Amino acid sequence: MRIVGGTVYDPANGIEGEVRDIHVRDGQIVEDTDPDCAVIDATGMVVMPGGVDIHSHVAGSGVNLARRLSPEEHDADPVRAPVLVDGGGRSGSGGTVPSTFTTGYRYAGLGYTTVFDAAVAPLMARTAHADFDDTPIVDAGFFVLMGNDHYLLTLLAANEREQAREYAAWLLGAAAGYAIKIVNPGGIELWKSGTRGEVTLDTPVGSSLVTPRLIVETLVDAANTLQLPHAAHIHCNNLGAAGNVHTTLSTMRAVEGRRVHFTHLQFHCYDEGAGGSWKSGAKAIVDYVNGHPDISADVGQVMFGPATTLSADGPAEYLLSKSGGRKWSNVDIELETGCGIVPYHYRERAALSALQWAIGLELFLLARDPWRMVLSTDHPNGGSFMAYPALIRLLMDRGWRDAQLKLVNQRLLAGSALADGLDREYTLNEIAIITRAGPARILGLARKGHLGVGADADITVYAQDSDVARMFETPRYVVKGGVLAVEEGQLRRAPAGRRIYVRPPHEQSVVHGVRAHFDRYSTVSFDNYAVGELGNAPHAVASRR
Amino acid sequence: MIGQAGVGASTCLGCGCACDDIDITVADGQIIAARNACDDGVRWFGTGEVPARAAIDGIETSRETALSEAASLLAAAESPRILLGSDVSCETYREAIGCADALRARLDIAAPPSAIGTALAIQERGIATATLGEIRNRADIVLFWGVDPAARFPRYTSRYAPGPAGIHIPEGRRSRTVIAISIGDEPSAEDADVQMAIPRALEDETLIRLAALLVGAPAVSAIDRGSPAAVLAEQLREGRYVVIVADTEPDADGSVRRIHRLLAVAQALNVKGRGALSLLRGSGNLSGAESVIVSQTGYPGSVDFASGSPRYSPHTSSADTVWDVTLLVGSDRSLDSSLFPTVVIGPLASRRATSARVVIDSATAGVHAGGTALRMDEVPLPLRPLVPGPPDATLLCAGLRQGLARILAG
Repeated sequence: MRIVGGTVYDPANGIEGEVRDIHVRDGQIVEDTDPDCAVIDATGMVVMPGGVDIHSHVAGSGVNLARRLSPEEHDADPVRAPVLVDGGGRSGSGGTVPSTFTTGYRYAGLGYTTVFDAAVAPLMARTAHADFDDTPIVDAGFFVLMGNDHYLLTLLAANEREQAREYAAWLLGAAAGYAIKIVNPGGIELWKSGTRGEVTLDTPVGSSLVTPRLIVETLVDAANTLQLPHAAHIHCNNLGAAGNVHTTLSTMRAVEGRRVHFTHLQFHCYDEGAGGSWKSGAKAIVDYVNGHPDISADVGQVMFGPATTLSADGPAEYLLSKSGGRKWSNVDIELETGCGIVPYHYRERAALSALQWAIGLELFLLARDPWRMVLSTDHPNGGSFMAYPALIRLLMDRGWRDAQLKLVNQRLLAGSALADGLDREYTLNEIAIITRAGPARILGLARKGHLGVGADADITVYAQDSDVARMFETPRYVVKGGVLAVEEGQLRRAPAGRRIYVRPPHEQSVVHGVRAHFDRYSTVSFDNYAVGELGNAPHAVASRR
Repeated sequence: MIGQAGVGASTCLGCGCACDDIDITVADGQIIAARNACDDGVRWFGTGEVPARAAIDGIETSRETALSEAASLLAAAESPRILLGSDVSCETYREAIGCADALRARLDIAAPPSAIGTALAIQERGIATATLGEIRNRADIVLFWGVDPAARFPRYTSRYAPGPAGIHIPEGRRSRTVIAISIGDEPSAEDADVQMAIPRALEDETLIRLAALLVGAPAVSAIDRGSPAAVLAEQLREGRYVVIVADTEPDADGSVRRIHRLLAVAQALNVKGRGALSLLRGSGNLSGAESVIVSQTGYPGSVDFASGSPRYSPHTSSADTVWDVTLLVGSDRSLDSSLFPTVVIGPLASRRATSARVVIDSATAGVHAGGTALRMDEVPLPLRPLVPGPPDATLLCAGLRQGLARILAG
């Protein structure tokens, strides 16, 4: 296959809006192709690598619990099976938590070809893998929840940090996950134990020796020592609480100088004004990120409209449910983590929603390095991934953004940089960075997010449009692994995606202790815990330093 | 003994507990022992010797012919329906739902009618729950509400609660307070520190009041202060982690209303402390069936694909529509005589579904075939083939899908 005449944005290879041909063979991008191969005429169109979503919630038991909680959303958004060239298309339902097949189709329909679920309890890993098996087209992986894992906390209480690292390696491999995820370190265990209130970095968790600080330091160091492709992926303590900007900054300082990723920063950027009111703390966070090149982050933008808040952070979800009296589900997951769910609606006229929306935009617009502040809505928490095109328009079109700003509740926006006026407009090249090249680089995916020779042939072709939201909503062509999935704007092929996971080496000595812990406390047999072979080989992990 | 082999950590689908610590001994191609299994589990595993027939109108035929006939019947149906039964894997359900989608069929779970009522109740307000291990490791108060788990879930009490010790429950049963509520003449747990009988007529009122008291409503009178709800509220407030155990599939009427109320009580337990509702359900991997339907359609059952996409119709009963061809995938343990399947693909189909037009015996998942099953709390567990047997139902359903695709493509 050859894609000819398109205007290529491939920031990883320093190509910014150059007319080039892209050659595809055997699922990869190559130097040249046979003259008689299929040709896609992309003249006048924009060509980018396939999108890479660094932080989403699309697989696993928590997502499924959220999915079943809102039948009214599904009723309002029935999805017929696409007409695929080889048949076999599947119907489904949409809403903020679409059914599995629909999720794959819709991601591909936006030009996204790689997706990571950001929070899977290892106990539930089999379900997440099964869901991915039913999520076509996209290559997918997940991050493994470890920040409240009971055996990890036990090792830390015994001052066994090296064993904790080896356990993290074992756990990643057992779940066939891709990265270490920390959610509200220690805070979920405290919630399960009945402790309420703010958690600081130095709050004891069970043992006086174990604190959120120690959990974060240990797992950040583990990811780096194990040479994992992606850094520890951190959801800080006190999500959604006024004043949590201080917790976030403290966490960043605790791991200063180390490779680390902070996720959905928007939910962690709330400062307190007079009388405990809310205000933006985005500037302090962005300043810190700008000055520390080892940090990467994704935004977790809020978009107005329906959402489903869904998180391992059970205590945060509980507080949200109390603030609105909405449906609330909570699942405490043995020895590992939790899960909370609250369907939600972000409204322009609601002061807090408006503040959240503004903070997200501030993070984007104040970040100096788009490679390290990439796009997410924390789907479906801040809004659906289907809102990405609208978000891109907000970033690229200041006039549109300012018009939207006038429509929202201004009560909490005093002093925010956005309200004071930010004139930055993202370029197409910067959009390619925050939606493709940047996430791929942060994730350590050498064959994703770019169009150089040897890359996976994941390519999106957009027809130029003065309305960039419309342009990004309906790619003209999407190629996934060399297969033309979207053709003339229609989904025509739905190849199975590959699984992206690691099985890092670990010291065998850790297994004995894990087994003993299982025998004593788990209701699942040790021999039934680890996920077996998957359909494709794991992502290679470099040798340890 | 020559030819004897052991398979450890096997998963039993005899009930929703899905105990995965069963040590199976196999000799000469038959299961001869199932150590750790309860009596129900031993019966569920059996010897593994099962029929492997395929038949049309009672006349034995090849599987290919039977599958072809099944596909023809389903494709020609005006109102086809697919029922997901027990004893097959989640992988089988995924294929079966694909058939329903292709056929624009009705899709249900072969479970008691209360199952969809429970799903509706959860959809209305959510659920505060926990996996069974969390209950084992944390629950210092266990409240059995109108249920004796020993009757249908024999190892619940010894594996999860109140029997075993846990991280925060160092002395097991002695570290917990067990409260057993009997409603009317329903059985209640025998091994309880507190026994309380509540007349059926007062159950609803008691649960409403209990939820109110737990969120902080004041007692309004001396009578109120002495009511079962007030007594219970006082006891439950003493707990660090309170678990309510209830059955989603009781024999008595009114179960769904009970679930509604218990959901509210379990949520209320979290206002000042921590609490969860543990729902007993899902024998033979029916929890897996519900979960896979949710993932592929968005709904927990009662799905109608007739319009070309899944539509939720939980209030449509079998009596409302004439399903001219019904395919049952798996076993039907609900013993609902109204099902009348036309085609059965599942374990022991030829023995159980004698009135069906087409029967194809499949493996029992976890005995003859592998795959994945979900425990009642949706924890996924692997299934292992233990002895040779009929073909995996997943393969049979995949074959059926291919046959349907050929016919429907015209």
